[in-house]
Amino acid sequence: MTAPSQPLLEIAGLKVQFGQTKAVRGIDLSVMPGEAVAVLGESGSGKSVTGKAIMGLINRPGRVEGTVAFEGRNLVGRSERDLAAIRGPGIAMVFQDSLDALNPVYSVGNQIMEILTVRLGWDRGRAREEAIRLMEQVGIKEAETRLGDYPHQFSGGMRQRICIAMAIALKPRLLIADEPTTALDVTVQAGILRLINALRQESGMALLFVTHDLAVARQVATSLVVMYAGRVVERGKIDEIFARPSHPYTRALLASNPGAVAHWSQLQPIAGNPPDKATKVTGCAFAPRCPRAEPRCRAEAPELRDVMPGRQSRCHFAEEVAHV
Amino acid sequence: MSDRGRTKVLEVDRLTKHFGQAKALDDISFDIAEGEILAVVGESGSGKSTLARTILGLLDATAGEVRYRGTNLLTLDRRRMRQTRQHIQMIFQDPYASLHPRRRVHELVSEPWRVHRGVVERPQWRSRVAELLDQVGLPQSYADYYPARLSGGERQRVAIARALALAPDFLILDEPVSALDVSIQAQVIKLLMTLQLQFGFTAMFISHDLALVRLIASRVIVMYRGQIVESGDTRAIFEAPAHDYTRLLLSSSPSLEGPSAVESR
Amino acid sequence: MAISDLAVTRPARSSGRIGETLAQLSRSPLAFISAIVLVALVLVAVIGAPLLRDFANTQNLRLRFFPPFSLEHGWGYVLGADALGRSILAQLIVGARTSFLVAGATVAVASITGMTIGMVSGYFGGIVDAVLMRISDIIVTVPSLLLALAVLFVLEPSVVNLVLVLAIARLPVYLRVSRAQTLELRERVFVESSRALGTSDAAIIWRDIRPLVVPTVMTVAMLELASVMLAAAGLSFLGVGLQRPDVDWGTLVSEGREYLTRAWWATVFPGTAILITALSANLLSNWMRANADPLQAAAMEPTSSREEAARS
Ligand SMILES: Nc1ncnc2c1ncn2[C@@H]1O[C@H](COP(=O)(O)OP(=O)(O)OP(=O)(O)O)[C@@H](O)[C@H]1O
Ligand SMILES: Nc1ncnc2c1ncn2[C@@H]1O[C@H](COP(=O)(O)OP(=O)(O)OP(=O)(O)O)[C@@H](O)[C@H]1O
Ligand code: SF4
Ligand SMILES: [Mg+2]
Ligand SMILES: [Mg+2]
Repeated sequence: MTAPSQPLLEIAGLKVQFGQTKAVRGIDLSVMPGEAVAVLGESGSGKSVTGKAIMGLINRPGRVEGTVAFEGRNLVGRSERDLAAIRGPGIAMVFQDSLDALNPVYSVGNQIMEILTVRLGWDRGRAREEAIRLMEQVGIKEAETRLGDYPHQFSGGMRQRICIAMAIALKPRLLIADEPTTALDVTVQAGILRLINALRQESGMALLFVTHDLAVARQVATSLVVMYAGRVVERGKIDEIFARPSHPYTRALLASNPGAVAHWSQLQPIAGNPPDKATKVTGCAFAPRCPRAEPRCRAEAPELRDVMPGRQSRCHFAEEVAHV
Repeated sequence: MSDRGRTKVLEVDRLTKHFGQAKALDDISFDIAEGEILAVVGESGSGKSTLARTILGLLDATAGEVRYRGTNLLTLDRRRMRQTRQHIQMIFQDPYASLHPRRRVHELVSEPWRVHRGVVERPQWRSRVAELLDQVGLPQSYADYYPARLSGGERQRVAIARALALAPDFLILDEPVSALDVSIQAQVIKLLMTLQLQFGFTAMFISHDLALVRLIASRVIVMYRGQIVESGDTRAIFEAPAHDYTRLLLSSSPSLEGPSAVESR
Repeated sequence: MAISDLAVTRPARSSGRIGETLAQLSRSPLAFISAIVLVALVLVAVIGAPLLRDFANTQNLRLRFFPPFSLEHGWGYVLGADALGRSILAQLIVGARTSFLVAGATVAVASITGMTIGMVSGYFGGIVDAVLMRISDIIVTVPSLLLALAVLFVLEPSVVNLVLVLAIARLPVYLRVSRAQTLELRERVFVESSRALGTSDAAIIWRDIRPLVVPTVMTVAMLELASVMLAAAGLSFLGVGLQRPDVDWGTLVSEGREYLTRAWWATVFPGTAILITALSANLLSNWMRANADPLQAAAMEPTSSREEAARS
């Protein structure tokens, strides 16, 4: 890990708060140009909010603190105009709720073409061809005839693919994909993951892939960031983490994977609930659910620290956890 | 086939649904025995959600019959259909769209009792909602939140609480956990299965997560372009898939073992 | 570390509460002033009109064309007097009541009826919908003023008739808006989820769809308030509107017009009153639209602004 180049995206101390709700409590992560990073974490751990904060899409009364540096320039606090110039060709995002992101009153072809005509000033003929190409690229059959169809005429999975087509239309340098395949069946998911990998190889696009599916994370990314309660608890190379997790939460996450057991009764959900987002956490946020917790954990908050080469963990006993 | 001798809760007979020229459902027939969990798997657009909606009468079938405990649902009058719906509940695929944006969690979960009077009396609503939220692992404070404040997983748990509110006899689960992370998935699946053991409801479980299907369903039907291409015992199908599409499905499932896609290129 | 409020197009959470709406209102000076103007006018109309009704119709030929801005004959004549020596100020206040009554009642009748028909029509679709939409098309093609003119020419021009005629003429606006939105909302999964629960159609329209249609209709109604006031004024102006002793601002303008060269104030003051009201209502309506509850907005326009912003 001695990449000399500057990170494409570097987030430091990112905090997002909605009133009393601390959605993100301090995130540090970086994405190198062309790198693929997966963000893994429990529902409500702040993954989507992180993605939106990077895009500058947190609206009042949400408050953003910390820095989000894209190509060396901090985006936090920038004007809507500056951000708009970066969104699209700089950073594009496929939203988790993108099933609802398509306008029902315009045909999908129109919606894809509009991006090209408005942002690139293309004429409609050229935009149309590109729209067809994009739709084919994301695996929609007979794209030309389906161009005039409206969103409701597509199944959930197809609509999601159209959203991906729209996100990559402007060839972004960083694609943030917020659980883009959760609504898709495995064959299409495999196709989309292959597509994203291919796009990355062609264009050198970097990827921040938000997911809660460990197996999917492994399909697209080489690095992994595990989030818990609005913070990064572990990060490093994905295969190394899966082979030897150094945080009890990562370990529990791996154990609750349905692929790992033979009957539903053997599933091991992580007991309890994540901490209330309105309260201040003292000590380790995972302590109430951690099988390894000791008194020290409740008193003293662990820092994210290097525990082995290329690996950071936010646990007092990371070394021991890794060696179980 | 292990469950064949038991009472049929649902019998779907030559069900067909066309959207204009497109055949979303083409001559579908299957049945579900009491207490059974039948999984429906298939690619995006193969008609799984259409099947669920047609069974519930949310879409008008082009042809065929759907019998729930012997009565054909498709010919019921409005009033009888509404009564029957007390016993059949559905959890929708997309938790971002299935909850009314202007209703608090408490109202969403108690809504079924407003529609079907007499199931739970109004004074008990608060405490029953509290119980249901607890069962699906949500803190009490969420009762006063609007869905916009909840994450995807939290919303889906609200939808599950709402579906369980009427203690249904037959539950259609349209990819209920695909929006949830694995640890909550495990929790919700365990919850659903424990409730299933407890109340013995019958379920149709639509999913594309084969790992999950393998864990909970006794039988599977595999859909492809509006048709059933394979059906049978879960284990049998997983061990010896007969149809090409089923094989593709099995091989596409991402797994934690073996080389990862990124590394292998 | 600086906490920065990012640029916002919409606040991120539901207001719902009146207090919060007021707080938001105070952040937009124009809308705030508009609201104050409208409230003040309504208060004046409600409180002042009953007291001044007789005075407004008192003729005093000695004060014919008494010019404005003079306190010689007391505050009552500060805005001058008309051809029959009636106080302009008093007539304005009495007229305000009628104008607001007519406009308010028209908008209320038209919006409630239009919204109800629109939601039912949009939700059920089919033949009823087709027929209703044709009727509405016909109403739209006939200019509302012309329609009102024709009907009022035949009927007695009373407040009730005026309201009914104007309401029918303005109905299609609400009908269309609410129908279009219902058409979209009824496809939403939460509506489907209610149907799956066994909720009756009436309950779905009332409980699921109505709350999401009302804010839009309110915004439109605000705009309409101004145009109805102008339409009523137009009818009075053409002489088929109200007759004395019912007087509204339109009547005042039309009566004063005859003497425009001798006494501009008899026309200009009521005209200005109409203008100010229309302007305030317009500004407020614009603010309402821009400030629409985001939950609402999210439910209304699936391509929510942030995603558009992200792409365009
Ligand atoms: N606009 C908002 N107002 C208030 N709270 C919010 C808002 N958006 C998100 N939150 C809160 O922030 C927390 C993190 O939400 P987020 O959507 O980032 O979770 P997530 O990690 O993406 O979960 P999931 O996997 O379920 O999508 C949630 O608990 C949510 O309640
Ligand atoms: N209202 C509609 N009008 C026209 N075609 C439709 C409509 N609803 C669904 N379809 C079509 O029917 C087919 C089946 O769609 P359906 O939503 O049932 O798929 P699905 O198996 O649930 O997919 P997914 O896994 O993506 O949810 C698709 O080709 C879709 O385009
Ligand atoms: S610090 Fe303690 S409580 Fe926290 S994860 Fe490590 S062992 Fe568990
Ligand atoms: Mg999310
Ligand atoms: Mg579906």
